[in-house]
Amino acid sequence: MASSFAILLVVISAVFGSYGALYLKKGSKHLSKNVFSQLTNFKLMRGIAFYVISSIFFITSLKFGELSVLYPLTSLTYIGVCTLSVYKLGERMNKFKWWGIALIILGICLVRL
Amino acid sequence: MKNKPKRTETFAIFITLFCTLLTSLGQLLLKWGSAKLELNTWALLTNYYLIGGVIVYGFGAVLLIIALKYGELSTLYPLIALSFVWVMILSIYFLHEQVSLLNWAGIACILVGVSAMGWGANHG
Repeated sequence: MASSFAILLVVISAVFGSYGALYLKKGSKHLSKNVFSQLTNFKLMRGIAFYVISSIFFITSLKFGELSVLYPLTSLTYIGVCTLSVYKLGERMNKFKWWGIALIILGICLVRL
Repeated sequence: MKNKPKRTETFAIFITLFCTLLTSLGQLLLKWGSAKLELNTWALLTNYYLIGGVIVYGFGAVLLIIALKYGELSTLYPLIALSFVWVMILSIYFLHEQVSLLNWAGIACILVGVSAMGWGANHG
């Protein structure tokens, strides 16, 4: 099982993960062949930082709960990413994508049993 | 005609799918490398699994960021779930893990879900 503290950590991890992905997407717009100029690509750097923070929260949560329960909760990130994409990036969802996500989340839960 | 939002390029989907393979391989290498983890500089420098894992994982991450430039986040991000499939296959083969029928059902769900994402990207 997993304590509520572990679940809270995973939820925080998912929030950072979702926003991290959002910033990675925004930062990817300014990619160029010059690798070093990417260090000033603040959105990209923020995205990477958020992703690292998200991983730290998740790894910490594993100390307080079992992987088989906590791992499927990371699929909250997928829902978070899609929601953010619609509201912040103007992307559109459709029934295929929603069903796709539902199946993916179900699949993640089954794989981790 | 309605203005359509920028669609996801098909090659961005394929790059992302390839990414998931790289990050899964990277994770496996890192797992092997962490088993032999010793906290002195020489051991770390010759821990080829660890170094290989970081390189492969890093390369996968870079490819993903490049793919994001050419596709919608809501389409590409869920494809990362494919790494669950790779990790399971790699675990069976290299770590001799046992998997149940339910685990395989989960893999099937992820595969169908990923296909639905790919279809929904351009046919919504």
